[in-house]
Amino acid sequence: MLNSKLLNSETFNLKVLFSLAHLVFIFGTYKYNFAGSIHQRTVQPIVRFVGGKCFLQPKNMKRASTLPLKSGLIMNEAFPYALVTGQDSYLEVLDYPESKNILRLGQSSAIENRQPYHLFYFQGSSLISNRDYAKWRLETKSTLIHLYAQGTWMVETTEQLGFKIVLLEGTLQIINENKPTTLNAGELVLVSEENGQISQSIKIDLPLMLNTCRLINSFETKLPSLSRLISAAQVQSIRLKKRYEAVVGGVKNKKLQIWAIKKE
Amino acid sequence: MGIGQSDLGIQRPVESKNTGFGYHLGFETKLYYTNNPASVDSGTLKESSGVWENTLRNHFLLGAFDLGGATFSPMISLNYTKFTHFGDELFDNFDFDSLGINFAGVFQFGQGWTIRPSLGLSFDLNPKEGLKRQYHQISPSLALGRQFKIGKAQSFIEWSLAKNFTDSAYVSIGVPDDKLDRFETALIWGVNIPFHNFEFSPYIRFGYTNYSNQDRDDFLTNLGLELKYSFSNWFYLKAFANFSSRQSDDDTYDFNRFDSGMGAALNAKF
Repeated sequence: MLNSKLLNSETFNLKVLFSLAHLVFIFGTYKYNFAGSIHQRTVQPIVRFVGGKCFLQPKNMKRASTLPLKSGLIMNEAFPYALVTGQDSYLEVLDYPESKNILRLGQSSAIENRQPYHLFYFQGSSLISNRDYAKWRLETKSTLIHLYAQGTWMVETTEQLGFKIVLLEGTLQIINENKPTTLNAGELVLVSEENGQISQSIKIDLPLMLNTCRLINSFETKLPSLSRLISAAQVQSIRLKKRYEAVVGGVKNKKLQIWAIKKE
Repeated sequence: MGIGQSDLGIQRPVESKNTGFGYHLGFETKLYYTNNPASVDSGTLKESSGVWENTLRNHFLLGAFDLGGATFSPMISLNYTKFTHFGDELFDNFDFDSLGINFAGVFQFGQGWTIRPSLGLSFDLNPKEGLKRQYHQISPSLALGRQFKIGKAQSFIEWSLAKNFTDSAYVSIGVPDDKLDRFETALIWGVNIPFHNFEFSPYIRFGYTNYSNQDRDDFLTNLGLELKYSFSNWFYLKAFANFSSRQSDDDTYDFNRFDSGMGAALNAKF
């Protein structure tokens, strides 16, 4: 009798465990499908802000010519096409590639939109804000990475056509051939052109970055995630232990340049 | 690429804690003149005296959490203040110690807005009777504030609501212990103006108090000025002046009071 009770109890525990595992599986599959479904939903991106000279360059130049961009223009160009900004020029595209997402290009940038969530960087910098989790594929001539992101983040090409990536708010995971690297708000990593190697993350002074970032401040339009950027900066301010007397520069000869701040 | 050339902005490396747990320890001593230590309208107690005030402050910041568009910081404060009167024997029995414990949660939003619910407990103790409790109050409160910049100056405005549940140990026969139970609402505006190592901080506060166990309403005004000189981020000296006024519908509670003096403080953050 006692054995029977014990057996029933064990069976019950196993049933609970299997149910939980099933729920986890369903949830995981749901998340996976959800991320996948984003790739299939495309909307017409709209040019929300143009500062200076910005262009859309279709890949197939025989079919269409270079299009100067203006605010309010609906971009119904078929993939692939490149977005290009001139010197002292900035571009903001809304609903790229999904509703309410923002893609901003900094000065002298050239980025080819090969597919939704697939960007090929010739040079320059960009800010991306996407509220729903999405898988992005970022490429240069010599670097390829995938990342899962939800939030606001920035990408800049380095001299050797690697990437400098900064997460401003939200979550971001970079996936290369090795293990994935997860970034927290205010962290910067370098992705080198050699097998997409990812550097150790560096925490960056977020309030200073928000105040000096042209990808945030050189636009007449307001980022929808601005309040999230501010709260991420506030949290970092409260948690702050130390500011280093240095600033991160570019990447030269495959080495990150750190500039010391001269004390007066 | 040089500094400032990147559109990403200036990238200065920092070190930060994982959760934001922190401990602030502070000690402040103040020596000041007051023209009305008993805060009375008239009578024999309306005499001036000196006050030496020593405060030990402990603030425990229990973390900083990003709520996605807002931040939340819970904190506990534990303060002990000793008030010692001098210069007039009349006020020898006015000395008291005060122990304050405060639990607060600060919600910070964009544009400088804050919401701060808190629960405060304070105890007034008599140092001449073995720290026997004279009075205590429990005060749930809610404050809505906003910080903003005026040039280099940092300004703040805060509106607060508080209910004080009180217990007085020394009351006359027939007077309830909770006679001082009251509802308070206040509006405070202040500005911190930095210049070199100095900081000039004027403020004004208007308060309205309704005593629930008395037929009494008070209107309070405070006007203050503070000039602080920081030798380092852990030590400063200050000079200050405060004017307080209470207008009550029961005239016996009216008073005007002026305090002015100097102070010094030591602060440490861990």
